[in-house]
Amino acid sequence: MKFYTRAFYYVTRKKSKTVLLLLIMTIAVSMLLSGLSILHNVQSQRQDIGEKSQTKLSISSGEAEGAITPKEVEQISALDNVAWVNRVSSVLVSPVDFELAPGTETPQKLEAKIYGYDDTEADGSFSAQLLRLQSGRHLDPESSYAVLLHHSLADANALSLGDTIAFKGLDGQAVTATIQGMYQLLSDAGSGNQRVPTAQRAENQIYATQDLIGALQRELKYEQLIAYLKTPEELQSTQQTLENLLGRHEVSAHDATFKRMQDTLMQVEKSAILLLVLTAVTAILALTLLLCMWTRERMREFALLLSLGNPVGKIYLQVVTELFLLFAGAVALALPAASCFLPLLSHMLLTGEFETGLEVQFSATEMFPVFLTGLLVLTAVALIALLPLASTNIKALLSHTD
Amino acid sequence: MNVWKRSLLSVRRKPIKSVLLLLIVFLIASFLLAGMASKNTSIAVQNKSRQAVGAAYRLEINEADRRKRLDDLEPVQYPNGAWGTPVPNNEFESLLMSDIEKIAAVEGIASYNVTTRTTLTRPVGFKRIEDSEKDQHMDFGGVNLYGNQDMQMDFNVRDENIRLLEGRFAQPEDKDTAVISSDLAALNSLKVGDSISFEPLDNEKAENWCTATIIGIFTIEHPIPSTMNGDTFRSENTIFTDLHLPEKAEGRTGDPCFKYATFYVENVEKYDAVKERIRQLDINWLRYDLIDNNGISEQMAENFNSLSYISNLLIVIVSVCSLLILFFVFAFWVKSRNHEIGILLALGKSKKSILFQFLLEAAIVGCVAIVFAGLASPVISGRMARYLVGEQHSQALEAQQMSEGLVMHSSNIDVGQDAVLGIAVSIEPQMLLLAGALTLTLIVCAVTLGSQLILRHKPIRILSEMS
Repeated sequence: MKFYTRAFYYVTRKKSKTVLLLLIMTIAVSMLLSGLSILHNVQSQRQDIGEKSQTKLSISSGEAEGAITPKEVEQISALDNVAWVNRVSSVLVSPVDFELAPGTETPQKLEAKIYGYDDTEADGSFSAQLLRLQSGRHLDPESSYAVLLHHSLADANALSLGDTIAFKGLDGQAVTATIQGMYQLLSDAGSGNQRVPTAQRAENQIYATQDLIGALQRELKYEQLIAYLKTPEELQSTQQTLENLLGRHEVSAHDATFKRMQDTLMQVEKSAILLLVLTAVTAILALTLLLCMWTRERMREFALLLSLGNPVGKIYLQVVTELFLLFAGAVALALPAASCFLPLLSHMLLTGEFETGLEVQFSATEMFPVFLTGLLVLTAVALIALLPLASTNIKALLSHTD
Repeated sequence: MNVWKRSLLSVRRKPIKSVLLLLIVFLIASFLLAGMASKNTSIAVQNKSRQAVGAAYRLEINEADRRKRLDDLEPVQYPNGAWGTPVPNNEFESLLMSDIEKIAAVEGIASYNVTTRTTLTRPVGFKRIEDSEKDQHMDFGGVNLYGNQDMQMDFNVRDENIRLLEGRFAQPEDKDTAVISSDLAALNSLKVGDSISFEPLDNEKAENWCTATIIGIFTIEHPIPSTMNGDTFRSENTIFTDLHLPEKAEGRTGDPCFKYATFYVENVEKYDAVKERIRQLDINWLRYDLIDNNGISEQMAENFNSLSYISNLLIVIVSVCSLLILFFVFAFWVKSRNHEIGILLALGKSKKSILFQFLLEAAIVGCVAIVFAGLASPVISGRMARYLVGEQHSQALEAQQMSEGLVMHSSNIDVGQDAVLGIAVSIEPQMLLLAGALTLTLIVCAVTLGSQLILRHKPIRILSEMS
């Protein structure tokens, strides 16, 4: 009888032991698959946290180097690790239908400085908490032709949220904008009306969307670009890439929040990896020990086969085949079990803050090494368990009692 | 031979089988312990991550109330003809220290910082950094001072706009101290320990100087944000001081102007509860705005909740699966002894005594394995902590390991102000008891069930089945 036939018969005829072994292997494989899936979730949460940590690279243009061009903005935005960019620019304008707070220069130059941002909350004086939004909402990428005014300027001109104001650029082009918000400045020495030109008075600082700035500039250009990163861990390589790309501009990194969290975030992931490793080690060792017990009980059977003239190699192949059959069955059961069981269990454990249970995430590229490792482990286990066959004589084996 | 003796002999005379079983139980008990410890560690690590993000409240003067109080004062005419109402003193626009201290004492507040208004003064005996090509006639011609109760908590320090090169930042107990930029230090050949003096901008009589000792020098990583233009406000001319130096520098000793105070929450999960406690304080809230400062923390709340939930899920899964494996292993163990059971039954032993014998054997193996798992727990927790903390701290970790009975506590020390890695991997007696109880319960159930599956048959049937 061929070894694989014998293996098949053994597995099918020793139903209770086969079922027990199959169950144990299925549970072990399910445990590993669940662990893998959970590790993926942890990694994606960690990545999400990293992205939200507002790690960014600031690209500034000096007077000598010239402003940042739209083409350079496109190049930066196209980089893999750049999530989004906040463009900063400014332009001097004259008011059309409102009055500025006068400065102390003579003769007076009634001009206001408009600062253009894609998102006023993320960067600049608002994020530094030098200014605070009193009413309305910040400018964001969804805003269009909108401004934020100092509340004093709005009050002095009887303006309120939703009203429109008009400006004129240095070349005479007129633009109208909607007041989206009003801000206040925390009172500071020197922010009063002593020796401050009109354009520099705090009340006359206006924040606007980039489309408005673009309409007022002769040619589009930016003084600063803040690139927010997806993966803070790649900050240095991205910084290097930007420095190579934009040699003439200064690139500096802002990652204070991520630095504070970095070690602990790594430990969060390490905790999950540790548990997965412990799971794998425990499952493998428990299976190994169990299979050693299983093969030890069959020494008498193997001794009989040896005495019938079967070589040790064939017996080894028989055992390995039995194990492979069981393992294949276990994997076939574990895959659907984990796919159904994990979301169900996670749903049962819902804290009420999540609508859906955990999604199972493991790919074929990960399954293959797991499967291969399992086969290698089983092969090794069979070898270890059958070593006595090679070293002990048949008579001693036959006289071995359970 | 009584059942006790038979159990002991069975365990002793099948040493390899007993050892294999013992190893399996030891492995699973250790794994359960490691899983429980890992869960606690995971929670602690996630909490540290939340704390690292930081959540705080910011106390500022309410602008509307300030204007209302200003309207109540008499207006005056300025030299340029404009009318206005000058602020009578710094206290008028300042947060009151008594109110700040009341808030700081609220349960749940971990730490706080007070920051003064930007104060302009003229440097005495040292030069400021100036752009020679700029028209300076509109500039104040001075430097700007930022006073902090705890300079390390200043926004510019936390956000790494500035980085300490030499010396230290001012602490709450410091008096008349300053931290200057490296550019200012280089221009004036100043070093830590030297003194610098300031005078008020309007000081025509060359008096009212105040002197500070340089305790630190910083380098500028990113421009210090300012809403004002001019060399007076440039980052190089920004000087960080202790809390009360700015009022002395502008000749108003005893009359400070605190611009804002930031209160850091101990536990970000209790943010709203702490805020509620603050609101209930006996403070004139019309004077202030209490602003939430937990933007990033709020954005990440869902992520941290996910992590917490995922950790719990993983522990449940591995615990349940481990216990199931243990159950089936013992069921397998019993199943492989059906021949022995048949012989004992044929010899007249009752089913109860056979079941009791198996339970005793399993209990002996189980108890010994659990004790070994308990003894191995310091090694387990040590290795886990070493892995979590990393190799660079492993030596400090080894130095810190200690044992107190069954509680093995491995933790690493804080290494530097940023490396807050105080992770404790503790396997406590309660965990050991729980793991032991669960393991033994499962073993008893497995042996009972496995035995019943065999013992329900007649001896002749049992004997006729192949092992």
